[in-house]
Amino acid sequence: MQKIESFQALYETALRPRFAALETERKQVADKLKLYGAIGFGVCFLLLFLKAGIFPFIITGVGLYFFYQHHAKGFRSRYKHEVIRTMVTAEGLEYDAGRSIAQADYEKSKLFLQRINRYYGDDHVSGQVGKTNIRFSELFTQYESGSGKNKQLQTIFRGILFIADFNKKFIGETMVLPDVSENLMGTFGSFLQGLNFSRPQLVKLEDVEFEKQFVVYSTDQVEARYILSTALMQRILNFKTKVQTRIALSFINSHVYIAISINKNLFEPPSLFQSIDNYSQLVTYHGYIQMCVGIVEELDLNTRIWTKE
Amino acid sequence: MFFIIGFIVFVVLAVALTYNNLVGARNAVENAFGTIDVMLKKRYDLLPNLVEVAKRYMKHEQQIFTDLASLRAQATTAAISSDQKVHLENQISGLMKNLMVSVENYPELKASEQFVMLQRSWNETEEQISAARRAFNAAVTQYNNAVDKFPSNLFASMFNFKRKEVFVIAETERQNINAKALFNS
Repeated sequence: MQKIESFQALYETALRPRFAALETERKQVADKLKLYGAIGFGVCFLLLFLKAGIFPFIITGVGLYFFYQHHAKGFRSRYKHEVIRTMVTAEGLEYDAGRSIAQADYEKSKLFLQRINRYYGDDHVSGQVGKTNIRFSELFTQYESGSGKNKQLQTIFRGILFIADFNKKFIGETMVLPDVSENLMGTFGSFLQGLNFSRPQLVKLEDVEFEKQFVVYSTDQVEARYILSTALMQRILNFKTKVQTRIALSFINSHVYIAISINKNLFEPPSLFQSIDNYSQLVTYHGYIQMCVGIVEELDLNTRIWTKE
Repeated sequence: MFFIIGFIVFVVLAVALTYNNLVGARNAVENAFGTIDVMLKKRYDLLPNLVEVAKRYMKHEQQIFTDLASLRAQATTAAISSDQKVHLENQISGLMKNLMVSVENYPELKASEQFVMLQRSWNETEEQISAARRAFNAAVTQYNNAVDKFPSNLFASMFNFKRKEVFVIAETERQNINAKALFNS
């Protein structure tokens, strides 16, 4: 993503020196695993001659799996503590690997109205960028569909939920959601949007490109336009082009909530059998952190020319 | 027989729905226009306070203050047409912009906390007015669509619903005040 040069410096000075100890630990575990695997399966083969069947293989496989999981867990938390934390604190922010944006905040955002059966998140980042308080974390929410044997977990949202203090005062609720129906069905889609009873009034904005990408609902027609100034609409469009994924925003209780869909688990170490010095992966993670920090600049949240300080 | 009754019911329902839709759109326009008035009123209330504070520091801009006072007096009299009102509004906005630019020459004023707060409120109302205008234009567009589009256009002419004009913002007005520049430059 952006700012590769600044990452290069961080990588050389702060990240690389931390890799040595982690890498030794990883190698020790990996070697042990390989050794136990070789011995275990070797014995299994010998047992084959005694007509023991595949049962010993299963036992060995399960044993190795638990051994791997146990060590991977400890290794993962050390990796997050050492590597991800360093990248986050370099931006002047705080990091808590185990925490996530609270479910109450997720619900307050009103971005997803689907009831939740499973709520999972980690990698919580918080702090201040200029005059603006921000926090974000990875989230993965699902609901159960079907019943009995057909029960399945369906994804509601997977990605990063970002919350920041908004720079204008407002009292209503405004949501900017990705547009599905209007894109597919034109005027008829727009008619359907107006009939969405789970959302407040449909707001038709004058920016054609913005209207194509998003559908806006708000409790107040004027306030929605006060928040979504022509400049902000442009900025949101630019941000969407940059991140190249589905985004949804809501403006509630003086905060802006931004849900950025990302279909992978971020800020995780590579597998125990790969070197942790995975430059391209680190660049990606750093890119996502930068992207979230950059939202403040991108949406011009530090401009405090209105009565809100 | 049933067919004929069914057809009549259908026609009556269709007329009623279209008519109600037109009335709804017209009321939305009136409501949106009312909101602009509320926002403008807010600005008129703010103006004397801002001028009062600015006057204390700005010794060389007395002409602007006199003009502003007289424009505000004209705009708040009840008996003016909406066209005149828009014209006065544009003049007030133009003068205020000039005033905000000259603030740069008065460091003491710029440092005054009271003034900065008023200036922020001013920006806020300016932007709220612009939002109200946009909401009004959206409501007018929706109303005009109903008046022009088939089949509601048939009833629109029958019940005398006429097209309405959207707000056209003067060229000088169109450039948003970049208040950030006003603060920092």
